[in-house]
Amino acid sequence: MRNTTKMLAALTSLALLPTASSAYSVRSPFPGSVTATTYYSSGTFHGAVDIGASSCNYWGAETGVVATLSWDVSIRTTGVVCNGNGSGNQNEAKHAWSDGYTFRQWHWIKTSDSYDRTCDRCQVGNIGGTGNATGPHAHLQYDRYGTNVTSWYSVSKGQSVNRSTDVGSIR
Amino acid sequence: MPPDSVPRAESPRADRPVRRTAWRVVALGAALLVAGVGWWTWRAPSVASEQHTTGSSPAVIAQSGETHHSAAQANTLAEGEATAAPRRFDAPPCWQDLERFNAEVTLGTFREWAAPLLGSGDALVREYLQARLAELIGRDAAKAGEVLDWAREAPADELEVLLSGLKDSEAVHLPQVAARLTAMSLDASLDAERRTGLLLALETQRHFEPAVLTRLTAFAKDPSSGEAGWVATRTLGKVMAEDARRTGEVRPYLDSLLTVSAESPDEQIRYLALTMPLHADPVLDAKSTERYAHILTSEGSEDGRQAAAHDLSLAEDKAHVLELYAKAFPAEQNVCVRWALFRFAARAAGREALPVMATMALVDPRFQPTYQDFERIYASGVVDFERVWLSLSTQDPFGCLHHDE
Amino acid sequence: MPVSHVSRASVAGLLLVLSPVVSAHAQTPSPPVLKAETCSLDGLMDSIRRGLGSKSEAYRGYLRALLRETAVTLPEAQLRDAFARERDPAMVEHLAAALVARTDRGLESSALDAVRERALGDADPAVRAATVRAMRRSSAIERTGDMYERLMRDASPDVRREAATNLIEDNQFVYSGHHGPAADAAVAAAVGSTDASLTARILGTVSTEAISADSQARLQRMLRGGDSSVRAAAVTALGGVPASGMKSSRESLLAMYREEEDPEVRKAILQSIARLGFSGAVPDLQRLREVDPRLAPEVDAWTRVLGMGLQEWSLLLREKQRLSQAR
Repeated sequence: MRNTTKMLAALTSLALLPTASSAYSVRSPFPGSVTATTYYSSGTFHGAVDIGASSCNYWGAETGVVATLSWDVSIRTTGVVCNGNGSGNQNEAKHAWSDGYTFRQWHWIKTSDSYDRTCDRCQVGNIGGTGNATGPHAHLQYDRYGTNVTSWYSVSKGQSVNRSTDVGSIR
Repeated sequence: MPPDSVPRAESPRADRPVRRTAWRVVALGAALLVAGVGWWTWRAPSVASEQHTTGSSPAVIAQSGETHHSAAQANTLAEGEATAAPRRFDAPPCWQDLERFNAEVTLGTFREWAAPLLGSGDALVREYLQARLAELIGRDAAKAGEVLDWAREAPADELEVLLSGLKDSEAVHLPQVAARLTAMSLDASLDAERRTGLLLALETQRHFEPAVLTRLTAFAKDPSSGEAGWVATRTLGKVMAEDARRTGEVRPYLDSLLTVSAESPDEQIRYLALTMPLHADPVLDAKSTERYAHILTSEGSEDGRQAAAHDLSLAEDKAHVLELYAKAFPAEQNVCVRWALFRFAARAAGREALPVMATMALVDPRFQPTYQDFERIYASGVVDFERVWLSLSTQDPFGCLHHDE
Repeated sequence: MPVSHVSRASVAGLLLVLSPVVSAHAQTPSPPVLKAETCSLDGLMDSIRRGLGSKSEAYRGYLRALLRETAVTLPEAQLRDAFARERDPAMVEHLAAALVARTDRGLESSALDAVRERALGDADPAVRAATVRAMRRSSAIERTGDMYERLMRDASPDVRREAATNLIEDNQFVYSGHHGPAADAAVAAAVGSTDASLTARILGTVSTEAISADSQARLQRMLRGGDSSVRAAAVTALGGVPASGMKSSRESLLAMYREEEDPEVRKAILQSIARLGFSGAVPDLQRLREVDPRLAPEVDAWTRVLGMGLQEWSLLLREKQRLSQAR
């Protein structure tokens, strides 16, 4: 049922408005459109949100969580890569909570913004396609001990998003 | 895999029925999309003057080896480091007369007065409207009932605000309001997207009585529920987490989620049902353990099997669950499911799982380095699995975190 | 209305007739003309100033969020000037939060520096407390040097209390307990404070999983302090130290248990020993069982919970609390 979250998208803030004091909204790191959620078009499980952009290395890639958090930034690729350079080579920004949950953002291009930083929706790089990618996009994933959580997002494939669009809610 | 455990075939994705409600959902989504993009578009003419940029211009970025129009031609477009893109911010608007709106709006005037704001695309003011509506409803069951009446016919963008306001109001916890919300959520005469919204509002409940659980479970696993079945599953999980947090009560919810995990024909709903317990961390009794053990070996989706391995890590009987993992590992062909069995053995039994993990690493030598990683961490004195997980040299030794196409 | 032209009775009658109409009109005023416009700092400040008196938390929250979200597009100098001029603590807090937002959104760090200066130097303790609150759940802890140590020695108890809350919430919500320097800053500020209740509150709450050996040594020295709440908090903190310090912590706590007389501190020791060893701590706990018969049920409860074999401290703590509630 790959269209499931279309309904959630239609009722986005209903699903997303954090109700607990420790809940956070997640917004798009840049303007673009949702290219995959729980499943790819092929039917392969994805369990995360991909947001693609028509241009590479133009927009800064902001951290998506609406809160000041410490971000652990890992650089595996230093060049400008837009269409992928192999699995495992993606640049990553992640925040790990103390109960095994981790929020990860992948595929951006390294810039002078790319370092461990504590910030609220700051840029950690430029939009790109490092790692396993067929085009410039951001992969937003929330997992617990490596198990993907699919209940946090409520955007649907094809949906246009900008930096004020709530993609989901975590915690 | 035991001979009596015939794997369930993965849902035939290409042949999955197109949901009857899909067109409606698309229409609703499109309506919201227009609303969401509206603000963006509205602002577009002034974007250049309002964007605050620091550092270099896009033209400078292009010098790093890439013009953004030629985006996707080659893999590495420039070896050197890219120039950081300038910051671009979108500021929300200020609304003239909102102060008077706030001071004078009543439940009776809310819909009429809020209408101009709904179409603005301003997310911040929508949040305000929802919060203000929650205040107007307060703890008044009659007012909540009135909002529920509106929810029967309100258009999509308004429905979202109405139900969000109800969700955040104190009245949503009143028995008569909760009962009506439940009834409407399961009312087949309402269109699917409306029921979806109502089910989301139902997530606010702190407890479900057995009769409600039974109805929601049946609804969640029923293929005819479509996407609303997915939302019902999420609602079951959310209320379980809240009830567990407040009272420790998980068993009835877990039974429901297990039923959906095992019986829904929809792979995505089964996966959701398998992962919702992650938010409540229930300790599994013997019966639940056996049900998850069955899913571990019979679920056709490898992601579902990984989730079942995760759930089993909190089984009460540690020795038994280690046996289950040990037995499942050689029969399992997928490396990501094997990785789940491997790491969740550690979550189940800590360093006492090391002999089982060592055997797994003998069966599949690709696990030798990660076994040594676990061994090193436990030898250092770390006992808490949460810290073990954070101490691993890599949390993704087999490339399973990113489910590549 | 010129009353002289009509009788009092007529006026009364007219009012009687009109009153329902007037009343109905009062209940349904005309809809406000809602028009979007670009925000200005002055306009926002006027709205916030008036909004402070609103009974609607929804509206006050909206104005708070609006200023924070708008802050990144307002001229910094204008914002800083307004902040410098403002004397009302409530408005100072809003403006300080806007400046903090600029820094945390990746703009200039000087915005937060201005807030730091005021938190440390303003003559009005209410203003100092307000600016400290504005830095809550921000990156301030790693951008402000020894500010929190100094704030924890502020003459105003309100300022000290707000600073302690920041140290706790920043470590929990910004760093999720994983950031050594933030935890070290909290330990240093707590140890340096003369307010025992706040020292205890910080040490009893902040995660020490990434603290330095120096911080651990400071905590161990606090085990000999005169205030039992501080001792209990230091004990709790020592239960969560990194692997490299676990052995030393365990030994300190085991040695302390026999000399300690306060039952609450002893309870904290039992908990920390449980945390340091999980099921491996059971033999230690059993040995301590005989030292204080009053705490035998506590030892038994921990033994039972650890026997469940759960491998995460949060789960063990949850089960222990459930067991305590059931007793």
